[in-house]
Amino acid sequence: MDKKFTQAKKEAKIAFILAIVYLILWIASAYLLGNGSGILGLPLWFEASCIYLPLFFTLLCWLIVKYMFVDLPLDIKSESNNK
Amino acid sequence: MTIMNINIIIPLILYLILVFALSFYAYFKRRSADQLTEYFIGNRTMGGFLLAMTMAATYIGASSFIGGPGAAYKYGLGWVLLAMIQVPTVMLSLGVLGKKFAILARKYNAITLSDMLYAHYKSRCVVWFASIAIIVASIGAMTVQFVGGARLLETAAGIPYFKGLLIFGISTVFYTAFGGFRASILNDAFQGMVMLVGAILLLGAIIYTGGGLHQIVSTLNHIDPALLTPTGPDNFLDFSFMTSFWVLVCFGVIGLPYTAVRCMAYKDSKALHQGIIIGTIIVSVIMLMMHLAGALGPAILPNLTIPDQIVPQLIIHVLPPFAAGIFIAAPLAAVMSTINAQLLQVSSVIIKDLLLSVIPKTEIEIDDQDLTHLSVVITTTLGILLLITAWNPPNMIVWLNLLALGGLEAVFLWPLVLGLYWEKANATGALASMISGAVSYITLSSLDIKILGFHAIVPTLLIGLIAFVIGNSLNKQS
Repeated sequence: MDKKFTQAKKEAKIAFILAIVYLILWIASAYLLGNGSGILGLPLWFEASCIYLPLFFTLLCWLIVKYMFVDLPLDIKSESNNK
Repeated sequence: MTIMNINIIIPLILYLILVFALSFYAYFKRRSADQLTEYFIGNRTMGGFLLAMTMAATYIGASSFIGGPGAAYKYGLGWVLLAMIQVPTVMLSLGVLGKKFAILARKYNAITLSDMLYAHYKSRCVVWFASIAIIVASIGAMTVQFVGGARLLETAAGIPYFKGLLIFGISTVFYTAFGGFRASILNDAFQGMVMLVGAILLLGAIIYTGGGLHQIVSTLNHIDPALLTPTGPDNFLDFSFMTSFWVLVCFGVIGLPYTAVRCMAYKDSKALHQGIIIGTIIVSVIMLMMHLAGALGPAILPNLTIPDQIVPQLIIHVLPPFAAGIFIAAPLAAVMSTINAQLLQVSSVIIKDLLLSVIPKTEIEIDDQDLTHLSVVITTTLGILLLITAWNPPNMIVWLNLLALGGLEAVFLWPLVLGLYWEKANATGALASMISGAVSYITLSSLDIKILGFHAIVPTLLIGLIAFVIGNSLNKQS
């Protein structure tokens, strides 16, 4: 059970770090790119922070969940007489 | 517009019939296993897709479909940027509470958040305080949603406010009370799909009507160039404002009781993994589409005096009437799915955490069937009370909604997260954090004190954390 919690704790940490990564990229893309025109015709900062960044973030989540999250059994086996 | 529009009302009625059908399905499904676990968390059978949909539908309430786009109409693309703060929310809250929470919930056989708090802190005081906080804050939040729903019917379909409130309120309460958690989840999934399709088509129709993105952007630039900047007109969206929102709608959301309940109800690890991915996609798409629709709004309807009306007005202007009816169902879906989550939360708190904990242990012979019937009665009664409170609506619903959201976060974030991941966390610390969080949040927001320009939630969470650590060190022996 301790092993399971160690892994669960690690995954919680990863989730938190991912959110921080998003926060940093969000700041960078929104406030540093300026008001030029982007590919779709909206301002560049907007396209980067609100369209491309969420796309990238979703991809990143998918990769991390796929390769770093483990398929843990959630039931505690010792309690076999589950109602 | 004062005349009820039949073309809009027919699809709305069809939509409500579908919602009822799903509730009946859930009701009959429940007959076979008449248990409290089934009523409040659906026997922990939720798969990945349902988990994602219910997380998304619960976050995206009236504020994302009415208030949010309204603000985007007023403050431009900067407000869309603010809305996109919520992109990591599903991943963060599912990931951080995560598997440890799910494993412990099974181990303790927990049905409510308070069960979990009790299992960890072994203190009735913590549970009672938690229960009262949930009831008070949720009543506020639900009133907001009721008002939002009725306003929507009023603006878009021309149904008078009180009639709208009745139709809308009764149907939501009915399906939640009878169907329980399973109906709530099935409807969330259905409503999530309606929202997703509605949002995409609405934005498409706006861009088409406005003559393409390039054309719309130059019109907006003509109206006010500040609408195209991340800081908005008059630098309204400044550093402290944005930071407050990061705390309020992203990091703080981990502490919301209805998120926690969903974290105990999914089936297995795979469901969680899928839930994270699908939930992130759905929240991101709906947030972007709806808020962008609001931000582009001035190019199509430049002279709106009440920003909150932008979504219903746009629906009427850019879509043919019958399609408009279908898409009014989308924000209505958003509102309904948020209410049902909270309604169920409150009734589970009243029954499980207050009623059952007061009854002496020797009289434990109340059978589950009676309790389930009691749950239906209590959920219905609560709903009726809410209808009465929403009878005299306030003028601005969005800020009230955020107020209730912050209140829940102020009380629950630290006891929940520290209880899970800090071995030394004890009941004294938790109580200190909950009480000081609640008191400072209420004080700061009722006196409208803004420390360094931050929303009350920012200093409150800091105070709550400090109080937790201090309280914790006072009770070393345990």
